[in-house]
Amino acid sequence: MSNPNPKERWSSRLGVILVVASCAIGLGNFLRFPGQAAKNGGGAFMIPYLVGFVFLGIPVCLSEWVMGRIGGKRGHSSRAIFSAFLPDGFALRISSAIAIIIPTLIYVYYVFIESWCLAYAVDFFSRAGQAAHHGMDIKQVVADSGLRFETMTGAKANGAALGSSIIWFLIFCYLLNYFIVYRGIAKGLEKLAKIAAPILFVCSSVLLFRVLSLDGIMNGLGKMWNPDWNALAKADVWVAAAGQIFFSLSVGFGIVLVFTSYLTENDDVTLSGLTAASLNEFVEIVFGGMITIPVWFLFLAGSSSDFSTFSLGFTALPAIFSQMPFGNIFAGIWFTTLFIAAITSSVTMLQPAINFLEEDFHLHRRYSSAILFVFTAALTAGIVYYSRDLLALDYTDFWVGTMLIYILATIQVIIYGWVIGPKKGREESEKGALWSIPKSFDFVIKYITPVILILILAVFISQNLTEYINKMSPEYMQMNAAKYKMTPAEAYENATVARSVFFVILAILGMTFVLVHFGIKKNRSTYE
Amino acid sequence: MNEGLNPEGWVIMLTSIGIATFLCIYCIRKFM
Repeated sequence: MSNPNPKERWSSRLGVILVVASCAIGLGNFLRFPGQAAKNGGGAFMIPYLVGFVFLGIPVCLSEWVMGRIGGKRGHSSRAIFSAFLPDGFALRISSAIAIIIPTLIYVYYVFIESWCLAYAVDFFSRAGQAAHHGMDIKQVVADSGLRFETMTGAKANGAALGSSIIWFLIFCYLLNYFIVYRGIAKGLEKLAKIAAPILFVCSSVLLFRVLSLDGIMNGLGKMWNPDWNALAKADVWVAAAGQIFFSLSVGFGIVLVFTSYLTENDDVTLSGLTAASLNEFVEIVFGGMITIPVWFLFLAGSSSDFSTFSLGFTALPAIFSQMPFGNIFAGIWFTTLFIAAITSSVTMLQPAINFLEEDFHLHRRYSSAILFVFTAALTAGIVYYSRDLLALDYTDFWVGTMLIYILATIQVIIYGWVIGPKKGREESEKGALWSIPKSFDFVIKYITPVILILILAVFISQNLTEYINKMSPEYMQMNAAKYKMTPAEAYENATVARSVFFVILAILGMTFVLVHFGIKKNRSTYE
Repeated sequence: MNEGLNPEGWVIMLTSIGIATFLCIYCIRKFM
């Protein structure tokens, strides 16, 4: 039985670039990048950041585009794409399974965060006419803002989010995401990116002009951009910069491979890949670097030193906007910007699993969407229920959004550099190319990029893995409950949740591995 | 510590924005 779905294709070159760029432009550009820069040497951070962009970001990004197009001759599911490079065996099954579960599981918690952005945007716009908290003690405003965030997301206790209005926003986001994905690549994703990208640009520009017109903004810009050269001597800063480049470009997610598989040999991949990466960098440096930390410093310097993504975006920034004239309107624009950045990313995350179900099991779009909807909704329900300290979300992000992504990116780079071969890959990239990859790229992708990736992974594991493993131990958590400011009973429950998240992810990986195996058997003819 | 944006900060900020803008314009011009 052949695939019952009509053949998908991009309707324009601009469409594929915008979808890939929109996929990469997310909360990380506006919140993670400025937080990392401020923590790691301010302006000095830009040196390892740009080095990371040249030696890690661009090579991994271009190799994904080239590999996607080569693999696309076999089909558009991760299994079909990887089968162009790997023999029928364990490596093919595990690589395909990882490439399918990464975007799907990230979607499961990312859509929850997306619903926060929407809820905040609606809330602020609905209070647009009201006076802001101008003149109130800033510490009290931040404390109120933090309390509001905890109440809305259910971070105070497990199950608390179920009683919050956030559930309705979450349901709306779910339906919207699936509606767009159901419409397909050209009519759904491409159309959304073409509408959303200009709105994102306009909203970000409005905020940027507002921020730059604030009194004393030079002090805020100083906090973000004045360099602390001593930071360059610290290995952590280089690892943080490379990690930021890596996460920002959304490489190793398994998404770009799927989207570029729809391109033909007449289509350019090199300039398109470079353009998508450049657009992402532009948004990150110009908007991410000029808005968040400067306003944070201007209003909250001395009151807070928490640069974590959620704290900056959902506690500090709302508190800051409430101090500005017409603050509710600007806060509404800020969260609209974040919501658009989030939804243009989340819709792309469903495509690899949809393609897997449709191509490998010949399911109609309505069945593939329905199966994926039920599957992802059940997992999101778990994330929403176990919301105390956002633990389930944090754990899923660590294992999937960090560890598995590193692993997949390393697999991809090794396939490109050592299986396809950089010379053959470059020759392949020149088909339809509007820009030629320099020859020096061969050395970088074969030796430098894998070494950087493995180095980052090693440092990251040494810094974080022990703590995450310890937190899965009920005995360890009970003994150290005081350290985490919990009661022994709460610590025990947290450890159980952390452990459950790990085993659920492992079970899903195993299940997907088996499904990929059946997908290979069902589509054996494509290998012959 | 309110020292404003110092000369080094200015150079890094404008260079970073310049590189990001140049890359985008370079790519767009190549497409045309």
